[in-house]
Amino acid sequence: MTTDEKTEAHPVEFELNGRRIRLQVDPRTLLADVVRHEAGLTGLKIACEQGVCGSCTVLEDGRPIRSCITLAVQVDGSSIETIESIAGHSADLHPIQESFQREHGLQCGFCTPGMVLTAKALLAENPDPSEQEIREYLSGNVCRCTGYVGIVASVRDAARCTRSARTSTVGTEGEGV
Amino acid sequence: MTCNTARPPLLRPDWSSDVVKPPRFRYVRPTTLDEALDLRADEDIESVILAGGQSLIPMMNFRLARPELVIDIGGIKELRAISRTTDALVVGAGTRQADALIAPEVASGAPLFIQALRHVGHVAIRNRGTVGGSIAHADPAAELPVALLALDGSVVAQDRSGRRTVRATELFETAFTTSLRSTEILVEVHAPVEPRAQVSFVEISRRHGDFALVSAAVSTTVDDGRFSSVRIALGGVAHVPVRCEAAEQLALEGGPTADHIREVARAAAAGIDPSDDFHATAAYRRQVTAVLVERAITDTCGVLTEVA
Repeated sequence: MTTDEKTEAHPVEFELNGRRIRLQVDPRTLLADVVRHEAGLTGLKIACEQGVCGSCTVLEDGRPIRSCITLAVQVDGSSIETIESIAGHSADLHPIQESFQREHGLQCGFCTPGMVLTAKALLAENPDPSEQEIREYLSGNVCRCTGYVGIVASVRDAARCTRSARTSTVGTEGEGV
Repeated sequence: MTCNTARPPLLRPDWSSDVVKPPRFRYVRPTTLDEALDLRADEDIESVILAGGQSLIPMMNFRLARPELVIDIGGIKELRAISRTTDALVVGAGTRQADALIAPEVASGAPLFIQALRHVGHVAIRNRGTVGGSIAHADPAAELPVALLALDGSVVAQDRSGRRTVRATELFETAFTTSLRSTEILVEVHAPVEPRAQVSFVEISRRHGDFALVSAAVSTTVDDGRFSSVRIALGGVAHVPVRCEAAEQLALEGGPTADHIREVARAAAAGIDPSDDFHATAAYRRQVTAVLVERAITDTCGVLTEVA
């Protein structure tokens, strides 16, 4: 039995791509819809709406989560990062995005924001993942176009670039992973 | 490659919330367990507990779940504690699956949970999903209920009248239904620590991270070349996880040899009565049960088997 009357809006406050936002939302509002409609950040895609495809992935405190099965009110106090934020101020693309470009990690691009964010979290945790570890970590992100080979190659390339950027004695402009 | 489209303003005031998918509900986010228990105590209101939401919210998106009141326990820190005594591992029900996966207490106290957790969903699911939530949700294909049963573990349920321990064998009533009362909240998950037991969790699913078609969780202890303790739990073969009692008894009659293990696995498969369904036939589940039980027991003993 649900109530038909309008429910009370519930306050929620969280950080979105480094900016503090404060909203009053119907509690049933999904985080994915807040990001897309309230914040206008449409890099996040909504496809399955049940958490299995990964196209809605955002990072909550650095960890990948499914925004389509997270209520906005549940991330009160958290720091949410979407694909729009990962390139540094001085760069057009984040190094992982550059790797995806070089290694053909995308075709239509629908799964790509989720893939890139998940890869970002992987490389923060494990800077030198094996192919099996990459496939395992990304196994929650579905791609209908590429067959995953280019995606795995992109993540390996990103890992390699990040490691060499870290060990390089020459300072780099790009932000850390 | 800069994006030249003008950035929209951060907040769009004209967007309406009426187009979202879950049906309307009232929402509360208590900060303490006591507050949550008070809210849960009102039996006139149909409330559900929201922990990680990785099972509940998909159901609400599909409008299969239409609660009146959602009690979000995600902010209750006291439900996230993990502790170990010599005899038991205690995992707070609100512990994120990802956190349990890397907790040293869980690795040492109940390594079977670690093995099971690796098969639960995907990274993103485990980052929000909780140990208690998965058990309370009691999906017949879920991994943690099977592991809990194989460990002969229990949960602690609490309401305003107090706490009570419910053994895994008495917890799962049917698909998506536990014996917990509507006033109760599952607050802790307990597993007895058995340092000499070897454990294994295996499952078969169409893709890694999918719900299991069949899963097997096994705990064995060997003394003087014979099995002194064996527990075999299966998931996906009934509406609830099941223990293979006949196969367990049979196991105790012998030791960790390839032939005996195969016999035990066959007995486990013979003792179940799965149904045909959309995902697999009963015959398939029976066949796979024998394979998985053999594999799991073999894993626990390190016995070399012939390739069939």
